[in-house]
Amino acid sequence: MSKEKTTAKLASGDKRTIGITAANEHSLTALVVAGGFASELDAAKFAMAHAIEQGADVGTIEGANTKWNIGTVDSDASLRALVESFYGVVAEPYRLIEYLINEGLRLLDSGDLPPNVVKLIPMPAKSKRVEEIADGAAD
Amino acid sequence: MLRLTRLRLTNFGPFKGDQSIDFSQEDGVTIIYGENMRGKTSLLNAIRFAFFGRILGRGRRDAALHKVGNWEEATENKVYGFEVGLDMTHAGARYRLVRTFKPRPGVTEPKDDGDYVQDYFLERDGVVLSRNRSKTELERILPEQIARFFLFDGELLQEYEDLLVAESDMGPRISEAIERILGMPVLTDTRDSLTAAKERAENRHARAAQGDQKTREFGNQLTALQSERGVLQADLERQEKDLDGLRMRKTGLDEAIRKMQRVSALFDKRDVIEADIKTLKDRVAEKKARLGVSMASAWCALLGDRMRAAIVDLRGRETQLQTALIRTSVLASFSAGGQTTCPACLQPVSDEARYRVEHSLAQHGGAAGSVEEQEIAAVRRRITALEHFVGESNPQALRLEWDSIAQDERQIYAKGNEVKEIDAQIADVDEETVRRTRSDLESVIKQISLLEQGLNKTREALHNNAVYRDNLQRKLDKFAGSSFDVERRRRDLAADLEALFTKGIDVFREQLRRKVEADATEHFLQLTSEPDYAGLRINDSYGLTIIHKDGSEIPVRSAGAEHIVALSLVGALQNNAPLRGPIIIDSPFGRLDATHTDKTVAALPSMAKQVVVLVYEDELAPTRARAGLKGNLKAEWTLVRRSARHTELKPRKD
Amino acid sequence: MSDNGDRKLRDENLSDVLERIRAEEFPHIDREVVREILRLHAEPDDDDLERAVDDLIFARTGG
Repeated sequence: MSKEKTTAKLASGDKRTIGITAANEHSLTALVVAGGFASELDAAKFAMAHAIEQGADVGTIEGANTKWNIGTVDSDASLRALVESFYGVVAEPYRLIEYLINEGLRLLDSGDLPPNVVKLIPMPAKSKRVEEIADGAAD
Repeated sequence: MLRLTRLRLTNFGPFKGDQSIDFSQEDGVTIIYGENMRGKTSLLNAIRFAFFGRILGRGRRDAALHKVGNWEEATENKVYGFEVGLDMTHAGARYRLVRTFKPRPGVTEPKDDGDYVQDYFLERDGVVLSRNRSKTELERILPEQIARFFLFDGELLQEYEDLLVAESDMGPRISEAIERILGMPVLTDTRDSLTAAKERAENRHARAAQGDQKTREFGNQLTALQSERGVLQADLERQEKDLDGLRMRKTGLDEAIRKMQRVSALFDKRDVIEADIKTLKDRVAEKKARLGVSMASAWCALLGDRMRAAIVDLRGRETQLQTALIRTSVLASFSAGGQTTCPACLQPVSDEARYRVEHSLAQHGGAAGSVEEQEIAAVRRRITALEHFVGESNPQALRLEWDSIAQDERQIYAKGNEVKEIDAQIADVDEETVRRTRSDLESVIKQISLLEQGLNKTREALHNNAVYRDNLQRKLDKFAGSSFDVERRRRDLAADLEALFTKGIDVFREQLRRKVEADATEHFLQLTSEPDYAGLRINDSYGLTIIHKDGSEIPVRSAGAEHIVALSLVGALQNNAPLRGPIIIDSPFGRLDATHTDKTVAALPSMAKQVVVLVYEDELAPTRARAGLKGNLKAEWTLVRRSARHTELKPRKD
Repeated sequence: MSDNGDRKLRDENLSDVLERIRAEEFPHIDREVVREILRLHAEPDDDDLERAVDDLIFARTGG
């Protein structure tokens, strides 16, 4: 099936650059480290997917910085297609994607991770610390 | 005979709180099982502490007592110090010994031994004895110098094995200790006392001679010579003591050098492990880079199920739209060109058929136009995108990559620990230390040689002195006739008694040695699995060799039998000591193979009436012990780990 | 390696050994003297031991 070539046809008013709120910066950094991601963008997509998977609704956020250009994020508009598959046609799909990224980071930061996430990001650092503590107590 | 009844511990080492172990009163063996580092050595030290107020650490040297109190009690409850109680029977009397080590009054956070005070109480048949009485009774029950024959830890067995090496400097010291346990000191002390009595008598005789003008000259020379002898004697004692000290130092230095040789091997091992770690780290870095690339599509795995469901829905919508578009196109071609044939199958289309298609189209939302065309294009775009993403999803592959990294990281951690352990072992060894130790050893060897020469000179001088005195004595006796008769008779009697006891020592020593030899042979033949061995021979300094059936001697070391020969000697000494007591051994089977372990286990009941053995299960499995000892196994205990610094003594239930 | 006579000798205790040597080589010394010496040294009381030994010798030599 041939892909239709689309330039990112932005709805008027849709964002050209998307980013992270100040509150979520540390969460993004932590996610990059924990998940061994090669870039922040990869981690951001993971967060977005998490939000969708957890059933996030359509929404917007304020106060995001301007980390990524849309051309970098979604050069072939496939992410937009993805988001439309789940949420239908929305007025500003990239604003929605930005929201989903931040919402995903917020969810990941708060409390325990659901098993499907843990399966993909095993978090080895924690168990090692436990071993070290046990070692220190022995004679 | 000394027999232990019960050992009570309060906060001694890992034995937190009050704990106790009962010993069977029937002849036989008690086994205490415990993994290494669980407290087996502490048990031995607890008994040492009870009797002598001291404990032994590495190298059989005294260890600090302030470190012995239970760490958890000190940290959690600020309870410092410890106590050991020992109930026992000896020569028909019941004894209770309690020794304590507590902080001095007023000290809340004791830091070293000086902050503590030690005390002990001894009861006999329920009556508390006075301080003096307690001291003498304890000395009688178990004199400290012979404790080594009852309380065996691994290092002591090593000492025995060293004894079996003829060139060992420790030989004379151990043979001295052996003679002590065999009761020789009674004889030798008596002989020494008689020698002193003889010298006093000679002195009186010489002074009497001085009192008479006729014999004054003799008298003067004799007293001068006796004086000289006193001085030479003192010199000799001092030199022997110094030589002793030097020999001990040499042993320590020899041991240090041996340790350093072990260390250089450890250095090599460490290098290898560090190289392994580097390789692993490089590998992990590579894997993490690859993981980064793979993780770019991890999000697809997260949404996999939802995307697949969405694809199903989208395909459904696509089909819907597709159908509507086709129907519209068919109808349009009918009405537009007035055709009456179906564009698809080229058959004539009846009015009826056309009516049906119109009706169906109306039912399904009417004619499909450009809106629907746009929508189907969008739907197809979405399906394409989703199918692409679903294709990217591979959670199993990701899992494998993570696991592989985790495994490598575990290995790195484990090897890191190995390096730490090696570092701990090589901590106090560096090139400077090695050089210093070697030069110290050379210096000590020189000093020993000089001192030995000096000793020989002194002995020679003493000998000459004795010869002169002897000659003078005889001349005086002839010259003096019947004067000083009484002094002379006293002198003669003392001399005869001294000679009698000297002879007695030689005879008794020879006799004991042969008895120990016979008993050691009996034990040895029980313990060895080699049918060609006929027995053991013991020489004057308690050096041992194995006797082959054909009469030839085999040095123990070359036969690799040090361990069981040492145990044979232990058993023989126990049989012949005037003081009988329990044997408490820590890990005697550690280096024995299965056959010799079985034989040693079977021989244990014959080594002493009460035997307590501390082992770990890999060294001696309970089933093996039970099979080997049968009715002679009287009790089994276990050291149970509650935490790294808390062990509990429990009777074994299985 | 051992015969009966040998075993008998080995089983002799200290007193027996001393008595045998006394009888064979020092018959002029009284049996009681040897026993007394052994007794004096059984529980050595350092202060008086020297004196006790001297007294014993004196007593036996007409002092």
